[in-house]
Amino acid sequence: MERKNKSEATEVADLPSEPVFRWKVVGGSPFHGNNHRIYKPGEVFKATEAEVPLAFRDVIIKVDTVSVQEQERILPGKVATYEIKEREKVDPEDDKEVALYDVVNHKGKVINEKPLSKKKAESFLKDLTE
Amino acid sequence: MSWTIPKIWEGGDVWILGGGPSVAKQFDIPKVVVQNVISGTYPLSAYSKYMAPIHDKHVIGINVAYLIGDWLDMCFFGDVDFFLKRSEELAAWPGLKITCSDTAGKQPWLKFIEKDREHIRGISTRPDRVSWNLNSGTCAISIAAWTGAKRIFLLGFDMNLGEDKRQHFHNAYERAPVTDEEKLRKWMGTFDRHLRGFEFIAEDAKKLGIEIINVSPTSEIREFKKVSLNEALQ
Repeated sequence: MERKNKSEATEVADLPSEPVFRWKVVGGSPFHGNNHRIYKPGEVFKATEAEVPLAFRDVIIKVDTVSVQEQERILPGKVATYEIKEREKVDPEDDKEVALYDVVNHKGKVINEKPLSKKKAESFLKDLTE
Repeated sequence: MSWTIPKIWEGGDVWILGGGPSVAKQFDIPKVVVQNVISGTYPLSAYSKYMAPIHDKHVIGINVAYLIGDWLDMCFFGDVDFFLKRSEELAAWPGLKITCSDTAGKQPWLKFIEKDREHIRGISTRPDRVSWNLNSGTCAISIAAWTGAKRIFLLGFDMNLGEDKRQHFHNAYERAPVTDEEKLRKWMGTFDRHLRGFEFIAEDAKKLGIEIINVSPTSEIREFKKVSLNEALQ
């Protein structure tokens, strides 16, 4: 049986104002949460300090020292940027030559595998940036 | 909302850079450089120039691999603990950052892809999902597949310890060599768990017409052809 990933912890309550932490049932018996849910051995769930009685802290351990609210706090970060560049034509004098494009990253590295039509390049740009 | 992987690398080669110790050997990184990176004297980016042969390839870096350089196209991680420890430097990295961690995925500068609950092992059947396979590196195979890769090269997918008993070609996680018997057993158990997905990945890759090549000649993975980096680049 697949073990639940830590990030997929079950929620005890919907966003209480108190800090919520992730807890893991490390004992051999299930833990009965005060929301009438039963957490199996090995299961990770989210609850406030008050929801996990001190008497159970040997079999229910806190997974992180940082609260879930803190973990989910929005941080400033760089969003990857890309732009569309037209490829140099094989024959610049040839008006009939179809224009081809690349999507390039912040370093000018070509991201696409094959040369693209403008429409396809715009579509990839949208996919990568939205 | 889950991000849909665009088919940007259709028909091409995609390289996934994992963390196994074989990476240093494959790129002929001098031992003194490796030692200095492991001791923290040199940053991980000291490896970058040795990896020049793949700078122009389509590369997905797993976990801290993004610290090697901004020539990597994507950084992928699945573990929220990794995010909590690395969030600031990860936020500053200019490339495309992707995660399947629902906690980390709330950051607007990260692309979030949900785990495929109906296809936990193997390669996801949907372009907006990844099969977890209990490991970030193997999970990224779903991303490579959905970009349209025809061939996927795995780097540092050793699933065993190196000659110096380390798990990685760096020491970004500050782990000592595994010399203790008990710890060794624990790590072997972890590698065993990580190996379980490959049977399913191989099966799915065959159906999708994708060739997966393991660029770690000493790897424990049995499902794919193993080659050296020189052979892979030919």
